[in-house]
Amino acid sequence: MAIEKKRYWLRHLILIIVLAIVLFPMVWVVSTSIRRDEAAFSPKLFSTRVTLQHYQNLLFPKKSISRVILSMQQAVHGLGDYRKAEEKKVKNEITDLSRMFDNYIDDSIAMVDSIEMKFEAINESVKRKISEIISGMNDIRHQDIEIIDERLDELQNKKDSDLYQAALLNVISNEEFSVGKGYRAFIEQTDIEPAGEILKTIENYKNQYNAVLDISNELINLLADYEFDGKDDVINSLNKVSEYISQENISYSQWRSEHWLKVINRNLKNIGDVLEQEKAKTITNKKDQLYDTFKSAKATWEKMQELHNNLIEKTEEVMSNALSEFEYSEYIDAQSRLETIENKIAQINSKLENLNEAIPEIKESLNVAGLVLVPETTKMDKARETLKTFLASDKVKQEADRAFPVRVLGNMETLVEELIPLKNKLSNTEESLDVYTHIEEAINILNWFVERKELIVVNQDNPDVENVIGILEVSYSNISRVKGDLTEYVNQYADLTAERKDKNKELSSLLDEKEKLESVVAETKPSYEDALNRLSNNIEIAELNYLKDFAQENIETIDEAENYYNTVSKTMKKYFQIKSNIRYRSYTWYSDFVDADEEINQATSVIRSVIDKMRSMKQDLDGKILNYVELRFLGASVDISVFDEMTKLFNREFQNFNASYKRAQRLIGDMIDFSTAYSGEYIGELREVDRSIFKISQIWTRKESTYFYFMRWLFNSIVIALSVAIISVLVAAFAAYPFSRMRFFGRGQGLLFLLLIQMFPTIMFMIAIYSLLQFLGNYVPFLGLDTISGMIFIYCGNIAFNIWLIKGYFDTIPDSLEESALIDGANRLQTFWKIVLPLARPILAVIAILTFMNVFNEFVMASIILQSIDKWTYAVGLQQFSGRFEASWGPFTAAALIGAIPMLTFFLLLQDQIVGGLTKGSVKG
Amino acid sequence: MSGKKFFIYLAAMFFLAIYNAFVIWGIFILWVNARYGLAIVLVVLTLLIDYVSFSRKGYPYRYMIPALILLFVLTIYPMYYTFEVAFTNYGTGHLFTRPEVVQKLLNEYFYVPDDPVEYNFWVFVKLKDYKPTNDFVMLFEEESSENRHISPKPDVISRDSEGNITLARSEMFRVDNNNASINGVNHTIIVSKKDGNYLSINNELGENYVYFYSSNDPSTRANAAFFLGEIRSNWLKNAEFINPQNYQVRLNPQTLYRNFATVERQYGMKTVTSLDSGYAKQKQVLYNRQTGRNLVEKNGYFYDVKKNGEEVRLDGYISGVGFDNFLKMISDPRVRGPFFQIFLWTFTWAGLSVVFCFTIGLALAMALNDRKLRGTKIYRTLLIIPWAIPAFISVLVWRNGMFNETYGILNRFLFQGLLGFEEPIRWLSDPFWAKVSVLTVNTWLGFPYMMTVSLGALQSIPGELYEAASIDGARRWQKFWKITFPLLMVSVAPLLVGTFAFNFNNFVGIYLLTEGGPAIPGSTTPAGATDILISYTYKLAFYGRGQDFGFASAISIIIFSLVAVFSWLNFKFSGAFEEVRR
Repeated sequence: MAIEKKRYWLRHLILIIVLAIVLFPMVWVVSTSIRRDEAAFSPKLFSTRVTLQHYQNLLFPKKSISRVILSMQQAVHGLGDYRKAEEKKVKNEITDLSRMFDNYIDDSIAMVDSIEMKFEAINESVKRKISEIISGMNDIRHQDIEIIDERLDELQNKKDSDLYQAALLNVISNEEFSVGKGYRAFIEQTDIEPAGEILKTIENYKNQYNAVLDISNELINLLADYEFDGKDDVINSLNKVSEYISQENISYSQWRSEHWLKVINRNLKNIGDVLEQEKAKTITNKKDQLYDTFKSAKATWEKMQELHNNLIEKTEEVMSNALSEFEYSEYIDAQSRLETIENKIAQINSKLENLNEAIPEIKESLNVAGLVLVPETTKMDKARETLKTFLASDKVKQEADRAFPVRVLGNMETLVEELIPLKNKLSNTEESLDVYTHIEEAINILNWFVERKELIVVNQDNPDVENVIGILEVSYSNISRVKGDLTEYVNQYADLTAERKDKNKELSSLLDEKEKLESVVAETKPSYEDALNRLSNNIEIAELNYLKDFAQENIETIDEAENYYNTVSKTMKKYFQIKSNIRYRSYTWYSDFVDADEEINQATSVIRSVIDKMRSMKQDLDGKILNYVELRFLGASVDISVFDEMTKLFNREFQNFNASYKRAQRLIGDMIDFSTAYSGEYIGELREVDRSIFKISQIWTRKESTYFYFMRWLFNSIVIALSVAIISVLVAAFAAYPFSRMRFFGRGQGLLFLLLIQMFPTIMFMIAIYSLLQFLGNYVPFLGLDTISGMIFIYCGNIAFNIWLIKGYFDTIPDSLEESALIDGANRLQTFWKIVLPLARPILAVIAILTFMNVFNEFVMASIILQSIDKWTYAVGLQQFSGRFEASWGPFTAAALIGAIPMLTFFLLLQDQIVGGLTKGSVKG
Repeated sequence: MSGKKFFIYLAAMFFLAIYNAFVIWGIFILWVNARYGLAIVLVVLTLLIDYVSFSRKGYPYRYMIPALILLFVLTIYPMYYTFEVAFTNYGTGHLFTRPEVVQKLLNEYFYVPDDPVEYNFWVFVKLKDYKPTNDFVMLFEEESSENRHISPKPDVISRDSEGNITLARSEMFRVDNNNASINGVNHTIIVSKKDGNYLSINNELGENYVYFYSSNDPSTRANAAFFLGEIRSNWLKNAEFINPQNYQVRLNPQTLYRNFATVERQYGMKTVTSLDSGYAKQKQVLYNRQTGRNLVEKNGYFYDVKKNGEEVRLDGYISGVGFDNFLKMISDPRVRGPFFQIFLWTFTWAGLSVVFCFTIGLALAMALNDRKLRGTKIYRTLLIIPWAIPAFISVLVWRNGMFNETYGILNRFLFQGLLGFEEPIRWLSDPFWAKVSVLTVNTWLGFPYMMTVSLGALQSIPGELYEAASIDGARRWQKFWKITFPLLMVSVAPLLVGTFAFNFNNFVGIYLLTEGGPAIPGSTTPAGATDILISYTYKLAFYGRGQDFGFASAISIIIFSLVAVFSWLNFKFSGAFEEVRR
């Protein structure tokens, strides 16, 4: 029994996991459709900021400002939806739109004001809580010290002085070079030269840095008492000195070009003309001193940088010394060589690939060229037979009185000499080619003739020999014509194959080497990793030591808190796997707030200016817009540019404030979700601000035109599906009746036929039905393409299956009821209408709903036949909601759910009937 | 009683008469338009209906009349049509019948001869409530002779299917001393006394046409929008004016429609006599009136032969191509490769879908088939949800939400997030992964059905069998393979065949997710790696610019025959044949 129970528990668990996986997409759809943060793929499946806005947008769409402007423009110019509107209607529309516009503007202003006010109030209140923030940070600081201490204790035995130095150098080379505290702290611990020197230079630099600031201040004081041209510029420039020199950086040349030469030097050059000699001299001296000090500070900085670089260069060396007991450098060396070899192998492989492609091609060409030799060889063979017979006869002369040289024989001799190297080249290759034998045969036969050169010359007057010479001339010229190609191909072939051989050889040697290196790498790897571990432990010690020192100091101002967060959070995150944003929430909440405040201020200023401009443009328009409409209807072409200006203004500025608002919203979302000790009281206010921002963006964002058609599509779908359900159930019920109750010719075949055609999916008929509707539309317009009634008509063709189902149900209704009615004088039609049909109501209802669902879900036919956007059905329209951007996921999921939920409800309610019906029909859908 | 009966009879006869009249009209139109298939279907249908209406024997059929009409027109005719089209080249470039194309060539192509008579024109419109209407008259002036003519608004001769005018015609009437008589009605041109500009044209009937627009009068530029948008694009674009010399005058393309000119029709019809096996045979051919050469017909296109012998393709028409569409599947390598790939994948897809759905469905059914397990009903209802939600919605959700390559949940959280993949998986654009995607989604959509039917089948297996098996010492696997599975198969096998047939044509499951893509490289048809036959057919017929209805129909027929085989198997399994014979 106990075992049984445990098994059930396991089974429940498995089923729940399966359910979670199966239903995940749907849960995602639901959560995305109601979230306001437009983060459809956020790891948080459910957002705390929930809205029904997406549903509202679809079910009760409202024009946003940009759309109102566009509609007004269209109405005035008679475009778009207003192409055929009458004058009166246009005027009414424009009045409505204009009122809508004004309302939107008023609402926006109210909302912007309230956001600003609320944030101002929060700001005031938060300012008073700074001490709390600081004490919170100090608490965390103590905790930090504790965990750092713990960790340092753990690491104590890992510390190794050589390695520690190497670790320091590592840290230093990763650290931003500066004179600041962090950098110095690491340098101070370093024993390796020139660390000491760097420290000295740092002191030097600091002095010079302070001197520069002091001198510029003195100069300001000196100048304060005098009046001369360009004084303000000079003072201003002197104040700016601190921007060019700091502990982190010095930008001497920039200062020189921007403030020294241009402003200070020029304006103080002629100061002697204005002031008394002595004072002018003091000022000039001070000025020169400033310049000199700045310059020498720069030199110091450069020296420091050089020293720093020297130090960093030693990192590798120090590291390999410190790690000499490990196979650290061996591993790195082997690894880098391995990489080079792998690169080489890849190169050779690609080369080989090319060769492997090229060689068959050239071989093919070669063989084709070689084939030309074959008929010539055959011809010459026949000629040889002829000559042989002749030579065997007694007509052969051994000598002649006058023997002209036969040119072709000489040529043939050269040809043989040319062909022989080709043959030799081919014999060296790996493969034996057909062309080789062809060439060989050609050479043999050519040679045969060449050897009998003298005899042929002597007997050239003989008609047989003359014929042979003729043949030889033709063959020679044919062969010599292909000789060029042949030579080229043979050479190429030989080269390529030779290259392939070389490459293969090279490859195999490289592979050997690679194998060796791989084994070296594998051998040294554990030791290398061990070394790395040690090193990283020491780095950790170095960094934590510094942090510990840093954390000792008490935090007193908000700037110090920021400094603490910036310095500590990264390292803490690295070594303790903490979420720094949450751990230091006390400070980060505040910084989020400051950022959000800034974003909101930014957005507010932009949106206010946009609203002001829009409002004045609108006021300008109000007086004359209706006149324009009248003018247009009188036939004058009107062109109101204000709308374009409005649209331009909108396009230019909307992104600006919307992006700021979006960022602010994200920050506010974080502030609500991750609250901290002192921020609880603001959550309510923040939520309201968030909502207001959302409302503003709803007023202003561009809304897709699809939203405005959504209800229309839904309506179309319902009209079509409802009509089809009613018509096809009635028609099917009538047709099913005789199949159930009467015996007639073709009954069996008819039933079989119905079964057969319901197996063919209608999607195949789309071509025929498309052209049928196209044709019908010419004569019966309401049944044409792109009409709802045409759509209803073709969906009604899908009744075969329904007839079959209803017939089955009629069979279960006993005949006796009808028989008694017939005896009482009713006719068949009456019994059918008054008895059978009411009794069959359950199946009729089920079939009607099933048909409704099928038609509602059908989109292929609909997308072909319904072409204009206002005739589409829901199923066609939904395709338009594909989510290309994160922002469009909300509308898409909401639209999907609006269609899915009624269907889901129908289905689950009728589960048993559907299963029964489909089991019978055995096909889904 | 009998009066009422008589009344019903009369009403029925009345409707029948109207129906017959309507059908005769319809058949006439169909015949004229060369739609013989539909005409024959209608004739057969009407004869049937008339027969059953009058014959006593036909009484049972009377109930079926509406169903018959729907089935004939929407099922049987499309089947016939598909067969017919499969043997033609119907598609892009071959959208009209030959007579239609000949008419188009004769009527819609013009050329401006070398020395045309050119006319400047002035448009005068009637105003209503001070607004211009599209009631207008034209004033023409010959450029060479300054002869002037007035033309009334052209009459519409023909319109296309969208109601646009394809031909309108009017006549030019000579103007003498600012007066012209149009069909006996005198029209007077009113000219400004000050500067001689035209003001209006008035007629005897008191109608007043105000000077509105002329392309060489800059002062009327403000009216250009109305002229171009209303008058020129609707009325003048395809209008011809017959001048007194009986030449056609049309908008002159050579001056960018800024004036009118006499034009000639580009093509004409003439009769040629040729010798055919000893007999003189007369044939009508089209010829180019400008060059005098006959048009050439090949591959269902008309070609115009230029002077240098170059052939310029004109319009094409629908013509029979025999078995070409079927042969194309086997012979043309750029069609054959993708086609066989699709053919194979259709079977793989349907087969794997059935296997996956059935395995998962059966496993879940076995888990739920236990009376002692609590919450069975809830589990079942929740697990059915994927089936209950319309497939086209959930497929879109999968495509957009789960499989999106940059945002999608699967890549962003599962594979790149949890499993640490570096490259995003290209769910929809890589051939292999696209196949994985469609199968995943289809399994998700289909397993609840299998679960439900398996659950039903499992519950009908009597428990005694298992008890007996336990007594004989059978182990669990043995029980499953020896009892559960065979008994299950008896009722589920036909459903498996049915599901296979369904998935064989599961258009939504493929098309909405991947649109059949990614495209198979090197194919001349829009074939994709996840395309199944039905989606391929759809794309051939309705996708992009190049439509090929003929080839699509040929594939449809292949699908027809395959589905018929599955259906036959299915009836065999499910005993439907027995039910019919009962």
